[in-house]
Amino acid sequence: MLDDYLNAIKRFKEPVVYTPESPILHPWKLMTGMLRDVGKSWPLARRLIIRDLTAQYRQTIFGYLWAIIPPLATALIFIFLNSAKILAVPQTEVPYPVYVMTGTIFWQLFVDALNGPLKEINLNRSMLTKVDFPKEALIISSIGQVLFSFFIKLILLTVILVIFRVSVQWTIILLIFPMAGLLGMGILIGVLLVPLGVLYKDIQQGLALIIQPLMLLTPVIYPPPSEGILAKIMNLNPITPLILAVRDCIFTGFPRPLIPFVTVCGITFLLLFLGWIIYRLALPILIERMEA
Amino acid sequence: MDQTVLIDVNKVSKRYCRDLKRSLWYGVRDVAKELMGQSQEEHNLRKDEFWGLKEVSFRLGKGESLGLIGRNGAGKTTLLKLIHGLIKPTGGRITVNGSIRALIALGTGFNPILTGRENIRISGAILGYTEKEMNEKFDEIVEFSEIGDFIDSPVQSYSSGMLARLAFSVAVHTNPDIMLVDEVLAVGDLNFAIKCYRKIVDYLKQGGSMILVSHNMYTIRTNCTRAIWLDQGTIKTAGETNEVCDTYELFAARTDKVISEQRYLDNTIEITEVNYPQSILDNDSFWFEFTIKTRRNIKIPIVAVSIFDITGHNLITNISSLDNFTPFLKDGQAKIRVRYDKLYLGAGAYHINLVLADGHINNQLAAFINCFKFEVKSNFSNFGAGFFKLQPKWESQ
Repeated sequence: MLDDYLNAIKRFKEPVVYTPESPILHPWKLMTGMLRDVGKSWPLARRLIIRDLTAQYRQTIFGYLWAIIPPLATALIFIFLNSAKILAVPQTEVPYPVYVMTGTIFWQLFVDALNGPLKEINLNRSMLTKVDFPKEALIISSIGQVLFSFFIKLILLTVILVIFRVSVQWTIILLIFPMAGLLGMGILIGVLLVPLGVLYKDIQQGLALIIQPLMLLTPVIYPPPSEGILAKIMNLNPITPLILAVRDCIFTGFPRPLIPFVTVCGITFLLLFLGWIIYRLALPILIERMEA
Repeated sequence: MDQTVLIDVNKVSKRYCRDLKRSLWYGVRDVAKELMGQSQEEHNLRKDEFWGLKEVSFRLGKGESLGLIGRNGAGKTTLLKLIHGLIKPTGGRITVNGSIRALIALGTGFNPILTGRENIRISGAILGYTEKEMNEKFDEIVEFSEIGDFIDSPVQSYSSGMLARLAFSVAVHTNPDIMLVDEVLAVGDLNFAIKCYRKIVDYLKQGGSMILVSHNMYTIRTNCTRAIWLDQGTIKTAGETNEVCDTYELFAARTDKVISEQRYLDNTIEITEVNYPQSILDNDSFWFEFTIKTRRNIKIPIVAVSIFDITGHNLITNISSLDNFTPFLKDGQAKIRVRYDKLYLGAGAYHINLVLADGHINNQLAAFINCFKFEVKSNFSNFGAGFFKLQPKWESQ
């Protein structure tokens, strides 16, 4: 009886109408559609995460170790440069290797999130041009993969903290906020780049070029200087409060100053919603320009 | 037939751009328009654009199966993509009333490194199977695909036929209200192709509806109740399947530039004069005559006549020596007349090859490929299915 009833409900659907109109003119329908599709996305997103993770690591010898190799390599270079006194990093509140590792690991979270959406769309071009499925699944899938590789990195970080016998604060549980902030901001920028990035390959090429210098303008491997041009730039860089908050939460307590951090997080999540709408509206138009 | 309209396509248009760079730039502008809430509706073309579809209208009712035919680039796949909601129309309106499953390409989302088992689940998730549905259907899918022990091997080790079989099995184990099928039915070996057709027939029998794109007229004729012939983005003819297919085939045959080709061992041989009716009715007799000229001394001349349909199937071959006939060459010239009291061919276009040999048919002196072309028209167009028109004697006891 209940099954029949549920089937009847499932069967009874409103007709779907496709017109040249922009869906933005019907905000209510747009919102309900977005929420409905997120719900429908989960099973597919789960499969895509499993597919991409297994495929990615099955053809390697080091397997999941590849998640920690890039940040570890970057960190080792700077640890070497610093110990050889080529780089003069001022005294940090924790041993320098610990400082660099926290920086690079959380920076990598941001970078992975930033590259995620475009990477996932490019990987699934043939699927996009041939099957209708909730497009949100691609974003959820790329978030899932980013988080997976991030949690492996967290294990590395834990090991390093133990090796250097650094004591952590109870505020480490608040780490979830800067973490969400970095992930959110990465995904936000990644999603906003989708419309241009799908059409023009320049975007991906350019991204690879920009990310390295951007790291040097963020307190990833050295603390922000107190004055000078770099200090000003780091101050304006919206990623700065997030990275600083990461270290505060682990080593010293509440993020200080709190206001820039909260503001950046708040704005990021508001804009994420906007980015979602743009993504949703742009994709059907992008799909017709993709090679079949 | 149920009168419920599942798909209503109303004056739908879609424009495309030929030039890649410009197409990308138009893409940027169209996205901007979309975000500012402007409609994509346009009646004019921008530079380098053309109408992929222009004001196409039709309806699909419940239980109907509709064949889409036409040349490459006529807009068939575009139409399927619009109905599926993958891309937006430039004009018009499409209403879809029911669940759709599209078989536009097989194996989308497959990953070569993963096993067949893993790929079934991925492909299923993409096609919209719920986890529960997949668990229920999983064994059935594996069995249908006939993959056997390979199911746990990475699909990159599969043959292309096996891959297609696996992909098709996932796609077909579902019961949507509407299926959109694009040229994917004939996959795998012959046995599997037959199995696929049977699956489709079952689906239609259970009241399913379908839009089928195919270049194989036989597939369209046997599976569809109605057909639409698309040409350069517009509907050329729509109606009962056999009628539309006949018209299309005849048109294709007429516009088909059959290149007459001559293969010689002896280039002194020529055919000077051919007389034949351009078109006959399917119960008419058929005759033609031609004149052969040669300077060669042929001991035992043999002439062979072959009739081909437009897809190149050899339907009939007659060899003079087997019919105890030897053409008489006088001064190196012979006028030969061939007559069939009845040809038994169904409606369509055919062409004829002529071969001249000496002593034995394998000892060919000259072959005239696509020598000429003629049409057979049917009196009973609605019953025109089948390659041949034979008249049986009916009895009842």
